Order: sequence, then C-alpha cells, then structure tokens
Amino acid sequence: MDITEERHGQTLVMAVNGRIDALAAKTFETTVLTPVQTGEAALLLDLGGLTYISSAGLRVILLAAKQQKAKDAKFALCNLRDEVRDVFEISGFAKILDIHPSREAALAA
Amino acid sequence: MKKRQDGELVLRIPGDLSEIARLPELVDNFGARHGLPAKLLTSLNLVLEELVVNTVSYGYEDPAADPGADSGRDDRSIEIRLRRDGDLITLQIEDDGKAFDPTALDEPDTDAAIEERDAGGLGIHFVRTLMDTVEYRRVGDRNRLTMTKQIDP
Repeated sequence: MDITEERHGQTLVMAVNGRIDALAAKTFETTVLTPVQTGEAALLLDLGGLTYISSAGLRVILLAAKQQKAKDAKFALCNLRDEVRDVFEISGFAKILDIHPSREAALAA
Repeated sequence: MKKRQDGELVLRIPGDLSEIARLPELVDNFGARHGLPAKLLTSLNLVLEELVVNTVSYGYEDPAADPGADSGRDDRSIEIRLRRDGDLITLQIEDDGKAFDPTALDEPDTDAAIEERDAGGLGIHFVRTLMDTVEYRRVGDRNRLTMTKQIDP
C-alpha cells in the first residue's frame, strides 16, 4: 500500500494504491491522521488505486471523518472501485461519508 | 500449506497478526484452481481476514492484563479449510483460542449517524452479509466456524 500526496488549492489529496488489510491499516492511520491533526482544512482520499479494504482501514477513515467534522474541516473520498464501494455500502459508511465519483467532482464540491 | 485432498486446502498458521499476509495467496490459488469469480474471492479474502484478525486480537490472553503472557507465541493454531462441492464453497476456520461465538454478537447499527458509529462489530457483520450460512460450534477446546457460499452462476 502506498499513498502519494498532491495539493489542489485548499485541498490536500491523498491517492491510495494497493490493499489495506489490518497490517497496512497501522501505516494508513498514521499517514491519514497526520494532516487531520495538523489542521488540514480539506482532505480528499482518492481511492482509485485501492483494490481491497477491511474493517481496520474503514476504522481509520471513520476516525478521520469524525475528527475533520469536529473541526468543521472537510473530508471526502472519491473514485471508489466497485468491490471497495460494496464494503462501504455493507458497513453503512457510504451513508455517512462524503463520496464522489471522481476527483474533479470531489474538488468542485 | 498442505493439500489434503482434492478441493481442500489446509493452512496451519501461528497466531500472529503478520500471518494475515499469507491469506490472499491461499484464497487466490484456490480460486484459480477452481476458476472462481473475482468478486467471490474478494469476499472470501475479507471474511478470512476479519475472522483471523478477531481470533488473534481477542481469542487469547490479553498482554495488557497479563504482561508475562507472550501474545506472539507461535504454537497456536488457526486451521483454515476451503472446499468446493459443485457450486457450493465451504470455508471452515478452527482455532484454539478461548470460547468465542462470533454469531452471538449484536449487529452494528448501519443506519446510525456518523457521531454514533464506530468500527466495532464490522468484521462479523461482513461475514454474515457476505456468506450464505454461518455456524459456530465449540469442539473440545477449539472454536469452529463453518460458512458456506453459493457460487453465483
């Protein structure tokens, strides 16, 4: 699993590639929560390269979403693959997270 | 990894979280051997990981409660059996942890607002949603979870 960062105006975009299982979730947590904790106003996770995620990774995403919301900061996801979207639907997280079909749509929102 | 009989794979893995890295290869090899659809393999991978992580995390003595206990022991066993009979896949996981019936857990409230949600119970929720049947039995000093899934035509 690797994560690359890009800035688009006010938004920090983190592009995630690979698989996030319970082992990778630890690194994922540190990487994603750092900008949250340093006060990033808008964070976008581009999951176009994510092929698999389990509950450990979902927990990190939920934590980031809650923490951003508590600070009135933005947090969104985009480019979910079908198999990843299924996991978000089953868990009910699709209802409570800001999910966009593309990076462009997410940045325009 | 040892092949016991046609269609059945037995993997005896020590109870260490790093071992979950070996699971996808097991599932993908089984899938390739039987020409199973990718979506089914993704489901099996997820179910297996969630159950093994639960067992390794909760099924043994808590190192925080008992600092002398070595939670990285390699003499535990978690046996995984994947079998295909026609269009039915059976997945069985057996471990020697303390008695724990995952089917007895409450479902998370997937309609709750974000403030009320946590990630607890999600692993078991995935197992129940993705597999057609889930059955728990305590056999001697082992937990045995048997699950089935129909291969979609």
